[in-house]
Amino acid sequence: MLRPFVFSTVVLFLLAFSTACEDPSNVGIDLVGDQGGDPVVVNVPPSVFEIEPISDITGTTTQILRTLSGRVEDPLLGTIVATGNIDFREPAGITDVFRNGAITEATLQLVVDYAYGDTSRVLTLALRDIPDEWDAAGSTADTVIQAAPEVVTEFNVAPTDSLVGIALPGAWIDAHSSELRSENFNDDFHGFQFEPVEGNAVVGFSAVGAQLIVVSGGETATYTIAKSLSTLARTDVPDLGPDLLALQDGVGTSIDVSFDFLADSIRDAAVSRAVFLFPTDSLTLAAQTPPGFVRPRLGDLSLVGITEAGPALELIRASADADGRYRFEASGLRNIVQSMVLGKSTFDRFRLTVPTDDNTINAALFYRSGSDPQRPEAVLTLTPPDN
Amino acid sequence: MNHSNTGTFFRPSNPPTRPSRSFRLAGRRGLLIFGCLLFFASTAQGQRSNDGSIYSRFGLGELRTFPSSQLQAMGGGGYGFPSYNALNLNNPASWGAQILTRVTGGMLYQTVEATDASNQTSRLASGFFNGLHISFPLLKQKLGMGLGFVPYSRVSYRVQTNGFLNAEPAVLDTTSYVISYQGNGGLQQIVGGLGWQAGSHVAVGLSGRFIFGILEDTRRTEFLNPFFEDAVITNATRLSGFTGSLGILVRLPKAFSTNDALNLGATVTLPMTLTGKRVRTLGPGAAPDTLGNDISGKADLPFSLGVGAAYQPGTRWTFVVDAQYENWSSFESDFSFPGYAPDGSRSFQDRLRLSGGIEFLPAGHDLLASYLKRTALRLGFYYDRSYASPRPDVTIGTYALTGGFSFPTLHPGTRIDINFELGARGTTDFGLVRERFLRIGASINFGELWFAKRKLG
Repeated sequence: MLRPFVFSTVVLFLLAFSTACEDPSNVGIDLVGDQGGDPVVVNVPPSVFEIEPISDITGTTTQILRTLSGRVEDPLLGTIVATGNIDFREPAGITDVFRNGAITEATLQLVVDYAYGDTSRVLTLALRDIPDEWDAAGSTADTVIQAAPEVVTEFNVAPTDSLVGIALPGAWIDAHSSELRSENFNDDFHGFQFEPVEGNAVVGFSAVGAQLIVVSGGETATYTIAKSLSTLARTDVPDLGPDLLALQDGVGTSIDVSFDFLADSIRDAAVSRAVFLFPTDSLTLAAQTPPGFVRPRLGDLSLVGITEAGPALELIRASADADGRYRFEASGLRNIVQSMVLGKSTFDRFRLTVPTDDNTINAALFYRSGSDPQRPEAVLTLTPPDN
Repeated sequence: MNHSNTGTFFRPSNPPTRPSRSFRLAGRRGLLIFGCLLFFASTAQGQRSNDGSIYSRFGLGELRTFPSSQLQAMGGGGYGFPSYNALNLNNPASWGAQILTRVTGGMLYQTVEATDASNQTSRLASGFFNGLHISFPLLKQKLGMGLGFVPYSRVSYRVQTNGFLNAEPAVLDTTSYVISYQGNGGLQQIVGGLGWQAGSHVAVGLSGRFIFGILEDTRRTEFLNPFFEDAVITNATRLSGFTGSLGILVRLPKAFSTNDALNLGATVTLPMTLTGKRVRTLGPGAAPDTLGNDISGKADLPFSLGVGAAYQPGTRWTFVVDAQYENWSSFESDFSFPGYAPDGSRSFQDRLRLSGGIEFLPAGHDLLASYLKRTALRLGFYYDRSYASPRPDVTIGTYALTGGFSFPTLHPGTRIDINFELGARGTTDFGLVRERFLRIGASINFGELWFAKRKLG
């Protein structure tokens, strides 16, 4: 009695499911008409690509990487004067023997891990005391640190050296004997300043290797670096012409970048991909580099989003590729560009800056205009909202 | 099924008797299988809701008809059919003669195979809700109320094309992509009204229809390279409006013989104005961005006239023929729709739907007959000249055969209906496509005597 019901329903549904293979195709595409949807690649040149003076943060008390000092006349980028300031902290475990003994020897040991400029000449630096407490954390390259007028000593650094030992004179030891042996060393002693005297280079001293080694009562104490600040000034900046922009670490430059994403050809489009490309001119850099002159290339760059009110947010970092081109791409950047295309972004421009976690004066020359691929641009893959 | 064929407008056909053991067993198994069918249909619905006809892209979508599962299998008309075993949504005049409270619900599963002029084919399948009807008598065989929640139109299509993009020539960065044009949604209608049995030969009815819903057209560009974000742009038009229908049903007993009955009916649905907004959004996420400003507008839908006749030579046979006309050439809207432009450069065509059907119930009113004899067989056809077309010079017609079985259950007033619909639509000429479709529907129709006064003594 139930058979007809079961049979008929099963047959019908088997028939239906046997023909139910999902196989969408372009059959019927002509009925849709010209509705668009094809993505296009749009190369958008920046409407703004200008140097923005932003003083670099070169002072730290944590993760101290390098202290710069020297003077270099770069034929392409101008004259840079770097003054290094370092302070030390007392090591743990200093004995009474050390504190009550007589200091017989004090040596400042520095490790050179960076050089910019003429590496064929010796660099002479003057060592001075810093008499007063100074701040390093967050301090910028234009900070002024007042050193004592008397030079403790002058010492030479060959940029190709790796280790520099400076024997501090007996007069300095006598003058600072009580500070060096004091339990309040960290508060009483304020460190040294290195100021260029002669030479054509800027060198960097590694924080890891910077030590003040003191021998007292027959025992040796090694004071390690507590804080560092490099102050920098650039003068005599040559004119690079309208087609190039120099971005140099430490000297207070960054590049503001803005694109007109609200142009009629872009506005309201779906952004499937956003790539920012900033090519650099390595040929000009190489051509204007004298023999023996070392000019390290800029490393990582940060792309920062700038709001109308001013606050900035680092979005992404990139390093130069083999062609010297900085290429920024990330889903977060695409999302921001999409918001800009819709006129809904909290950011109204971008900024190219050098990350502050490594003290250098590395440089790169950026193309401002020109033909592809020698121009900065945003390469957007768009799907226009209409046909 | 069990319809009256003599002097009174309605003869109760299902006297409550205790079902036999085999009857109860069959009913239980029937409900079990019905549950399985609903599961299959809901599974199908879970595949994709936009795998239907490309022609549903045009106008306000493909207009749907679900007067009842019984009439669906008989061509989908029934303007002149005094249906007592289910709510006939096409004519509110038939609602007055009810005795049982009824609840009907069903699902529909369809496969569509489209072929173009180059003989390429695509196959798509989907399942969806077919409708829910509730009806109950207010005054026995005099005044009845009907409620329904059924689709008015359905937008359901998916077609795609492929492309290749040279995204960043400098680094030889390329990607393939697929553009899918998809339609989804449709208009639903909530119907409510009263039917009044004005006399032994005439019944009238009035119903209100609240129509609402969202028509969505989505363009999705999907990249095969994961570095590219898919682009999804959706136009969503939200519409709603209210209209009313007036129906009349005239019964002519002994029209050609002593045991037959001829029923004539007509329903007029008034023109209505749908108002709403169109929103364009961008983004594949759950919270897409709105592009531009919302556009407010209206759409004036035309009146509809349906006429039909039902002839019952006895208790075993029923014949219906119907015609429905909708004046879509008068349609006006602030919104553009595929196949229609507000500036008058494109307009719709008048819709005409012709249908007919037969029902054969071998047992007639004999409830003690075998299960097979109490199973109703239905067959029908329809032709639907669509109101919307991709080309102004081409009319899109749909031809379909319908049919089904109505299985009794252990409950005398309850039946399970399995329907099918096999049809073809369109042409491969003029760059169009010809579609063949198969629809399988499963409905359950509960009927029970409620609100009855018990007589003591």
